[in-house]
Amino acid sequence: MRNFKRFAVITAVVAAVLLLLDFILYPCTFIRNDIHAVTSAKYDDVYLGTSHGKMNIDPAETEAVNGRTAHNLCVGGEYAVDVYFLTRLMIEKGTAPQRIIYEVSPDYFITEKEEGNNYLLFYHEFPVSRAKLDYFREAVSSKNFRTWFFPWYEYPLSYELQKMKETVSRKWNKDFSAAGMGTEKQIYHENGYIERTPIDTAALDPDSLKKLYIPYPEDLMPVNMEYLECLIDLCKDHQIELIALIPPIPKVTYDYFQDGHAALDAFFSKYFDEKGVRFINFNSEEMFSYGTHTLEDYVDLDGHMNGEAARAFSAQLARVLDRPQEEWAVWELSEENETEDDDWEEDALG
Amino acid sequence: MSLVSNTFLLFILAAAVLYYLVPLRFRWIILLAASFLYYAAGGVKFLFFISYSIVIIYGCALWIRRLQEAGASAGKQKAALILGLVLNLGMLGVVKYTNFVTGTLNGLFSLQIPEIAILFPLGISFYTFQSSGYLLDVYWKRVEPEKNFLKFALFVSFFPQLMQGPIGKFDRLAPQLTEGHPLDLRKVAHGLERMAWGFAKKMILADWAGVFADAIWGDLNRYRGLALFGLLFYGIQLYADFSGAMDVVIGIAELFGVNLDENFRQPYLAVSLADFWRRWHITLGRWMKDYVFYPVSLSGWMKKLTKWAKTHLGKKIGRTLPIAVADILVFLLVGIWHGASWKFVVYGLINGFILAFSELMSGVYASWKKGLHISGKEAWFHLFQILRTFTIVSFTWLYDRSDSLEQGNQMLKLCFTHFNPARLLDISAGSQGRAFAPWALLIIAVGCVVMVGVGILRERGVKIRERLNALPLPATVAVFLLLFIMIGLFGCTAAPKGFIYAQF
Repeated sequence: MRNFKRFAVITAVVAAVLLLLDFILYPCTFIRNDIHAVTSAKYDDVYLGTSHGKMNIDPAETEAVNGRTAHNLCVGGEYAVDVYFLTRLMIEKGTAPQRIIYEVSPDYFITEKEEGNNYLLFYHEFPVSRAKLDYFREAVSSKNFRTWFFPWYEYPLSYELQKMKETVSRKWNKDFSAAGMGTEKQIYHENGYIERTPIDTAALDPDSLKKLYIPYPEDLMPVNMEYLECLIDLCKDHQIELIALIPPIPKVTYDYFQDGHAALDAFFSKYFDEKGVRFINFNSEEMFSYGTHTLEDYVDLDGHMNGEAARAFSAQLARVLDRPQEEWAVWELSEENETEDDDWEEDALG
Repeated sequence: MSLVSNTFLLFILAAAVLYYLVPLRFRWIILLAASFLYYAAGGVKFLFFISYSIVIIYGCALWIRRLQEAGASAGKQKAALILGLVLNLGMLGVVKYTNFVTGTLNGLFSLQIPEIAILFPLGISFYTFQSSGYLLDVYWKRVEPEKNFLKFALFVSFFPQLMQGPIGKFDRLAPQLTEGHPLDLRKVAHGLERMAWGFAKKMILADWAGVFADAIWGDLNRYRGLALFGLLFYGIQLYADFSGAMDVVIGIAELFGVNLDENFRQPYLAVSLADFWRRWHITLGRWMKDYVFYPVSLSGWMKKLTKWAKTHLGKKIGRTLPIAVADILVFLLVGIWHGASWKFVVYGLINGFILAFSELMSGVYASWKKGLHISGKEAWFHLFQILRTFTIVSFTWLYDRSDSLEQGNQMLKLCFTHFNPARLLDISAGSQGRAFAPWALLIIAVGCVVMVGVGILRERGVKIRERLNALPLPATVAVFLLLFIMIGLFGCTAAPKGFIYAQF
């Protein structure tokens, strides 16, 4: 009996030490704020997706146009599995939105989440829930045990130590504000939107286009498509309207990967049509003129917009989502821009 | 199910709780069920292969004993043994070597024999050897055959050792598995400590060394000046990975009250290649010694060879030649056991020839030592022997690690033609990238110092774990908790990799 008591005490001490380490070392990310936001208040719209959604959609602008409250829960590294469990969490917590707008980044459908690379970004912030348990079972249980015992192993120790004071203060005070989280180039907003300051696009390296990759439909991984399907079913079961979205990209990038974009548009249009999900692709032939494709509106060739362009696009998005087509603004490329983009393309293609 | 996964730890926890909940005499059934569940988790289809091995060896062992009891002729007994071995090891041969053989034939005779898609069952190299060893022991009347089919199945399939060994001997392992152990919390604590040590070796030392080894081997043109470091890092990785796995496996077995055989004994402190092989993968070496080396060196044709050599080559060579031939044969098999590729054949033969050569030259070496007034007890000479052996062993890893024989040759050449250690800092160290390379190298260096320090203490007979456990409880807990936390703090941040020997 004495041995059992000792064993129980040791187990409790180990657990306490691990929890303490987690408390002081796992940094407070903006995802912590975002998940807290969407599980403590109910929004009309929640935007889910990747970094393109995070930087291109400002919920304040969409709300100003369509009057719907919204939060941006997108982030780089958000795969279909994360989107599915984030939706489940909101449903479980009774804060499910009326509508989910899912920014579908094809890149995220050809790869699997990579262990050790912000793998726990979402899971770690989930409050205790059935969704968290299932998320663990399906996506974390097969990973190495550090994901469980030391989730902070994904961050460099030097970064953790540098942030430790702030981490402890924020967690201790239950501070979920975005204040102090941004940098000069990235401004964090409480509604989840990250604003990028404009850059000199002339300084962008045309060769970097070659590092990008636009997948073809045959590259899409079944596991990601399965979770997309689960998400569609989940939304249907809970009367949540799901809209799939591909935001615009610079024309130079579009032209470089034109065949891939056309093939993906055809695939997803058919797929979402069959599933009864509205699909808006700002790089499709029909929608191309309703989004900005001018390179100066972006901060990179991948399609992340600067703040000003993102706000304009967000207003446009709200109109596209909720207003008749006559009210959608047409964004035609100026002749000057078109010429510049053509020069770029020549550079990129050599 | 990887040994380092959350699922596996939960599986262990559930198995241990169940094991100690059921009455003593039924506990082995929990181990058997857990073993088959674990194996099935790797692929239900693989159950066929292990079941086949169990059925064949179980049946043949009983048959051999019946023939022996009935006074059947030696020929009949041998026929039963050979049938069992052929059926068991034949399966290993077919799944592991078919494509190697056909590929070689295609290359040699310009044939077009197509490759066959064959399943490679997990752990097959380990359980076929373990079960074949049992059959030979029954044949030689060293052990009584197990009559209970399920108990025999547990001996072959015991889950902690199934994937990477150690290769157990029936007389030592089977009774422990089936007797049912009462809960001994000290033993459980020992098991957990051993597991923590193994995980630390794997995730801190092996995986970081693996980052550098993989980068160098993966791009020899870019890192041509780092070939020697490639060898060094692979040597560190392989030892920390395999011995770490053994620590975890032995620790898990201890949770169930089972003591598995040790598989390592400070191999990098060996003073000769022969000594190294007595310290590295000990259970495979023991298997080879018991079931290949002795039977070969004591066989009739070897006696004839000895006689011939004594007559024609002199008494000294006549005495050592059979040992040298058996060495070459054993290491050829060790090489082939490691994988179906010519590089493994070369790897095995290099070891075999060095050992055979050393055996034949032992007299010459002794006279050199005498001439140089070296008694063999000098500290400097001991250190020299260790460094010499480590260097030889490191070069033998060339063909173990390389993707092909050609790459091994290229690497060997680069070791002597290019040297540019500064390029180590160009290697991306896990998720933190190149900037972390110096720190990762420091972690490896400190890890090596700890390992060597622990090794030296063990060589001197210091029982480190026992000493730590003799400390007041809070101190013991603090030491092992700290070790465990080190995995989180300093563990490799590159995408996790499985254990190297799990692929055999």
